[in-house]
Amino acid sequence: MNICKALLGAVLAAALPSGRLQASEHEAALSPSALNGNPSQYNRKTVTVRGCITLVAEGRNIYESQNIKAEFDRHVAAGGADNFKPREWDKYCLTIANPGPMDKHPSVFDKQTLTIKGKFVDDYLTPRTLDLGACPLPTAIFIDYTDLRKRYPALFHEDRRTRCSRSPWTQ
Amino acid sequence: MVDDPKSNGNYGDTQSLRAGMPMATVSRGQVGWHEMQDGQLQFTYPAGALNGSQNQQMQNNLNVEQLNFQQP
Repeated sequence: MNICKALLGAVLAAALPSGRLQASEHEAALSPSALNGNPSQYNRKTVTVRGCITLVAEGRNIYESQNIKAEFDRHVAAGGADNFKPREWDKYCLTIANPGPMDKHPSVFDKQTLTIKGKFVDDYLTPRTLDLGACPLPTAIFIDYTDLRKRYPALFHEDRRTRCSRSPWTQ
Repeated sequence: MVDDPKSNGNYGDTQSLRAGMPMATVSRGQVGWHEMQDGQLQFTYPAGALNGSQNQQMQNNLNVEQLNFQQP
């Protein structure tokens, strides 16, 4: 009996930390619209945001959700013929200020829904700043890639493999 | 040469117009220009640079991107 209790205790102890981590990730994650709705409140602060990644030649951002992005895309495809008001959609788009590590393999990250930690800023775009891939609003997030690699190691697996295979020092 | 307004909040290759600058798009050695002329967005490109479907797509993009520059 004592051995059974000890084994059960060991199993529970091993399972709970993982479960708590996943729950807290979702509880703490904000949406792009929540951040964009109160930019001064989050300015220069570390935040956790969850959304759908866009990472293509002309844009790099975290969008509110895949469903809302699909709806936005339908309006754009209609060419404005459906009383589309693009400014009402600005709040759903958060610029990724430092796409660097993801840019090596954009197709791996594009259209993925991810939870991302980073520093939010409300003044990434200014009247003197031009970023052709930015969202309409001046806000952005500087991604913490150490945290992102811990959350999604599989997404960076190809990156590691490519770097190793290209290195002249690994044969 | 055809831009993609879906990817950056409906701006496509017209981002620079927000700062009052025209934007050049280079594709296969040819250059197209997004400009604002008397409040109307326009794209100028060399003859033959766009085929029929690309021309239609570009017109669609201009129509929807124009909305970014309208007064609310």
